[in-house]
Amino acid sequence: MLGKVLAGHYKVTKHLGGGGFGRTYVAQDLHLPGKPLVIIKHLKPISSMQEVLEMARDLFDREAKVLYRLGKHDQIPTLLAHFEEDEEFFLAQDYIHGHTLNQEIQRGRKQSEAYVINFLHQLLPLLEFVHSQQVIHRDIKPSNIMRRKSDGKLVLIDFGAVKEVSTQSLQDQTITRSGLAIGSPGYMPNEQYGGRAQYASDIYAVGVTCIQALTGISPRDFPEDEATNEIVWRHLVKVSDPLADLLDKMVRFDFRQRYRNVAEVMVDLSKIAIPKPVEADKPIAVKIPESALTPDKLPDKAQDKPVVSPDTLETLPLTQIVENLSGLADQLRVKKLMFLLCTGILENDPERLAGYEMQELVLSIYEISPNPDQLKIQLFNAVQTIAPAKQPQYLALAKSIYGILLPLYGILSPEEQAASALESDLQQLRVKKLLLYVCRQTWENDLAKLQQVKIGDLLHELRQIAPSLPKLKSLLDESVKATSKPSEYMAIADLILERLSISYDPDTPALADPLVEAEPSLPDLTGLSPDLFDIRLELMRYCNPLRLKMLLYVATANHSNMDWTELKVHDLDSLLRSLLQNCANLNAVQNRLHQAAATLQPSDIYQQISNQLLRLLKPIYPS
Amino acid sequence: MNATELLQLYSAGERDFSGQDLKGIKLSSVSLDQADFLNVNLANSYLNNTSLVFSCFTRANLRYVTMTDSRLWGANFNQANLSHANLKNADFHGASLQEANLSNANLSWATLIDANLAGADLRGVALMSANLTGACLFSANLRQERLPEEIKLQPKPHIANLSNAILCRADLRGANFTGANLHRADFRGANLSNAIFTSADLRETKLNYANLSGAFFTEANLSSAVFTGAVMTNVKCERTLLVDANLQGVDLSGAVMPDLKASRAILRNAKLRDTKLTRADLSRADLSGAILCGASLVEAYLARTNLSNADLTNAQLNRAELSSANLANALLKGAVMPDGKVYNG
Repeated sequence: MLGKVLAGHYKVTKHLGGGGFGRTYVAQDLHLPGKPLVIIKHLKPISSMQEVLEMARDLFDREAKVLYRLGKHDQIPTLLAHFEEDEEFFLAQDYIHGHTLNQEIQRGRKQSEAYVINFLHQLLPLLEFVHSQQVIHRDIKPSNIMRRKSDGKLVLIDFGAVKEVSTQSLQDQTITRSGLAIGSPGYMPNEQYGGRAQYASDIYAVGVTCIQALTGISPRDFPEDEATNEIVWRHLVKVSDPLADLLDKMVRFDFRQRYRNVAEVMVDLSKIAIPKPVEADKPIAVKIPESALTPDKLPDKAQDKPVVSPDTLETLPLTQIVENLSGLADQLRVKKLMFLLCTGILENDPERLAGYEMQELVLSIYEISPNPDQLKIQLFNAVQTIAPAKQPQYLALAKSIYGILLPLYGILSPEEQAASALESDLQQLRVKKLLLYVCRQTWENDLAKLQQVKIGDLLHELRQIAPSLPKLKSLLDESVKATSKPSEYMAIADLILERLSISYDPDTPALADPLVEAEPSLPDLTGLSPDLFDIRLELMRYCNPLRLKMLLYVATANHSNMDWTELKVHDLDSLLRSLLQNCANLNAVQNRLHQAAATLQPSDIYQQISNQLLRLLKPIYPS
Repeated sequence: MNATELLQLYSAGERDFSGQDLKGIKLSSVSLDQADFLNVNLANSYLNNTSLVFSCFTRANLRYVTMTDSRLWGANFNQANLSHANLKNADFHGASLQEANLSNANLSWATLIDANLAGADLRGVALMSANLTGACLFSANLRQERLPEEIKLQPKPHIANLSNAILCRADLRGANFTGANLHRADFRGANLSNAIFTSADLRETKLNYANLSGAFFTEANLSSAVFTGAVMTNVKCERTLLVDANLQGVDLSGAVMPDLKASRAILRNAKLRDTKLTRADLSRADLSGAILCGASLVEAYLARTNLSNADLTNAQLNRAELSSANLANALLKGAVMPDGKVYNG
């Protein structure tokens, strides 16, 4: 696709992204002076069947019309063209210079109340306009809202040519188009999961975005009231009651309890004063607070309320730990488990749990478990007391908590180790550029801006985009190909992969099951080591299993003192593997076995076993 | 020959007692290492707490023998008859029991590490908390006895009991566990390909990295079992219970699983290419990122199922309950939807 010229004048220059429904590219309009950039959206038809193709085109045409109408608004990208080429559909629209709100609303960054009020003042009229055109956006979230560089105004993007509600069924105020859930988890209200989006669904998404901005917590991790399903967030951050009430009403679980339309929200919003009018005039200048609050640069607010802890604890990176813990999914369980660890009580009342500060819990855990090993054992014991069916979930949580709490003992979590290693690398600027591109789809060349970015934050984001190593690899590969110097950035990608492989590796969990550790460890069955079941079966058919083990034990341990307990601990499989690992070729195997057989009595029996072994191990070694 | 005579001969250096009739003999708490008892009749005898390291009992009659707490390292029981034997807490480390008859024997708490039980008859055996790490049970028979009605009334359950047994890396290929109790057994790294687990109780078993390809789990209960890293291609899971099971990332391609009950199961990133899941209950299961290309989900119950980022290309979802499922970013190209129509954006 890259380099291709569409409709005779759009030259595709960059792949921006894509989901299950289509792809997005940046292109240049060759016909206009200065060759301005445009966004090209490519709808992939779902089937090559003629009737499906026609239906898709029909829908696409109709939706392009909606977008054409909407695009007249200053804060919505203008539709430039929609066309069909080689039975595939394209849509060209304005390229917006600026950044998405992903850069302002980030995990761990708490925006001010003024920021949120300004945000609402800007976005709500825009949303009202959209709704007045009988269109539901259905996917409002920070990454779909841009701040234009030229005037700092918000621009609503990614409407969808491909994920738009068609006007066809918009006869009434309520839309009853049964269909599939389209949107982003966390920002989607309950009714949208069922495919029944309402105007109030967009209001919900805006509310969620505001709460995300205030708390710095990803919507997927918002605590919920188990009984009512309502988002529980007020305790997380100090917000004036009128604004908190307004947001609460925007994000009610039942859409009938929400604001019915944007105008209603705006009426309530107009009653709320902006706390700091200085910043209100220049929304773009809203200062983003430092995300990593290491103890030596705690803001004034935190110093007013000193940490209630012994002097020695003041050096602990508590704020960061508490923040990381708050970033975990399923906050209720996190607290439940930590509370269980501290008190031995499995507290099920969310309100009572909310009464305990995360920091308090961290400190008492630190008192109970003076070292990481203790912590590991106590976490495991705590999990063991939970109902067996729920143990796997809690064990996974326990592992995450363990990783986060490690810095208490001066040990960095694998992810932090990776971050600090990358941060100190000579190539750190390039690392940042590539990571920024992977995480936020922006190519940043401004040195000052690059220096502000923390690799640790980027790795956090990366973790969410790419939860597994293969996924990470493919993402990096894709991004490297899009750069101007693929060969150089391939090396950077490899460096990132190497550093991150430790924290991604599922085989080296931060918290290993202590019971498993007591048993002989499982051999690496995931690797391509030969499957020894057939060899074992053949061997057992012809040889006494115990004599076989004794021979292998002597051959691999290099001494003939038979330790019966140890022989029981090493099973036949692991003894065989240890022999194979120690011998580079069949000759080495032969020598070892014959020497071992000579030291054992009756040696003729052991010589026979050794011959059988050699016969069966022969195919493993290439001749 | 009585016990005193035998022990005198043994201390004089005699090792071969083959073919003797030693029925009911009492040889408790003695040492008879490396002795030969081929074809010996030891029925109803007492060999408890006895050391019999490397002794040979090939084809011996050991019915109803008592060998509790005995040390049987490397001993040979090939084709011996040990039915109804009491072998509690006996140590069979590295012993060979090929084609031995162990039906209704009591092996609870026994150690069978690296023992060879290939082709053994283990019907009705008690193996509670036994340690079978690395043991070979190739083609062993642990099938539940089908009994005539009158015998069924007897209190003794004729079910192989392997609850809490350790079977790590054990070779269980083709073994028959029909109706067996395997509750909380540990099968990590074991080879269970083509094994039969029809109606077996496999709740809370650990099956990490086990090879289960082609195994039969018809009507088995695998609730809360953990399968991560297991190979499960072509397994048969008709009417199987997999409630709360953890199958994250497991490859179940081509598996036959109609009427499966797998509510709340974790199937994140699992591969279910062309899997038959007709009428399966996957309510509240986590199938996010799972590959379900060409899978049959006809009449499947998907209430609150998480199918976000799942690949459902060409899947059949006819009459499936999908209304409350999470399909965010799911790929549905070519899928047949509940209303019978091919998906179109």
